[in-house]
Amino acid sequence: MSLKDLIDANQEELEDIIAKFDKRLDKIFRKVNVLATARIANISDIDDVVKFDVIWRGILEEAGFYNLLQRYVNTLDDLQGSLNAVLTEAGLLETLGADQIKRLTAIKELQIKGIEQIGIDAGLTLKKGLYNNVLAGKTKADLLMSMGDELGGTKYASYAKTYANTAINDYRQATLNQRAEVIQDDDDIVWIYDGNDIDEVTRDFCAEVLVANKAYSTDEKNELEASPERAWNCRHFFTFVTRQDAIDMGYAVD
Amino acid sequence: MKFKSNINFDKLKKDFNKRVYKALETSGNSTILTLKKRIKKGVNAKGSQFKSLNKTYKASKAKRGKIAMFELEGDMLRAITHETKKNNILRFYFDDEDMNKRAHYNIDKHKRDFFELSDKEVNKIQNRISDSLNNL
Repeated sequence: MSLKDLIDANQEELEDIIAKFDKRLDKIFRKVNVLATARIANISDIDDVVKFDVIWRGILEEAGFYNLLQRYVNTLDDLQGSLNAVLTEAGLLETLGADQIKRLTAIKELQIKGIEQIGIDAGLTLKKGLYNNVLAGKTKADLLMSMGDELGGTKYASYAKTYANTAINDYRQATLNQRAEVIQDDDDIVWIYDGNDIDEVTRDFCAEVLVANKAYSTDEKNELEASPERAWNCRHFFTFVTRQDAIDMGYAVD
Repeated sequence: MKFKSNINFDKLKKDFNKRVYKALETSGNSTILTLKKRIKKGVNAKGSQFKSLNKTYKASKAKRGKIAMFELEGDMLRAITHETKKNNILRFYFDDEDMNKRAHYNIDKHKRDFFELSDKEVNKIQNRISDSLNNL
């Protein structure tokens, strides 16, 4: 096996790691989004801006972002270890000059930095988008355009619309939740699932909740709201009304 | 003669504010739900159908299984919200400037007066606030 074959084989393994990394990163960003929306909704004055980065790092930490990066670095280290082992086994390691070894190490460092940067850029863009949306009352179109520009050239560009839709909808939900907080211990308050009518892209979960046509208690609502099945790009949200309103509008009330 | 009151005015004020807040907030939300149901049917506050969509647009919506008026992506209807202002004013508006422009385009250019409340709907809100103060 030539050195090129070995590196090609190694590259395939690396691509597999990156694919897994991306998949895991998607999940992490869903969590980041939920956490960020809930916490950013409380930001109301300039003093909070100063604290924002601390809040943001906490969100990334809690969502598992840094853990994932560390795991990626460890995996690359292991990968380099296994490459070295293969090269040793093939009697090729000694044939590599110091410059070539340095180059392999530099490539590894670049891979780590590159992946890390994609994650950071995506996070930063999401942060900016949410932040602008909350503080400056940006429109969805502004948010999308800014996200598209920021993310241009990365695979996250195609996710911009999803990020924007999710951010806006989650923010709306966080606002409604906050408004209900003052009266949420009132048994007369129930929650209704509102949003788009059922169509060809409605998720089964949302369709079931809509078809059930029920009014939910705050606890029931919280459980449904947190369901991972509607975490991403959902076009529905919960709004609160009185029991009598719910009955008048034809919802089933327990 | 000394008049001694055992009324806790602070508590009374708090109860009053909470009840009015609840009446305004829940009225706002339920009105939006009713309004959206009505808009999706293409009916205005007076019960008349507003100007239909043009045929091409209607057909392209139908292809995507969309029947409801004003609901393609659903952005405009989802953007309808309300706020309670000083002096117990309940204001309905669009929380996205672009959606606000879209709504104005429909109202001003196409005379689709969809963003209005009927007298019955307004009375319901007023009665809700009055009723909320019963037995205070």
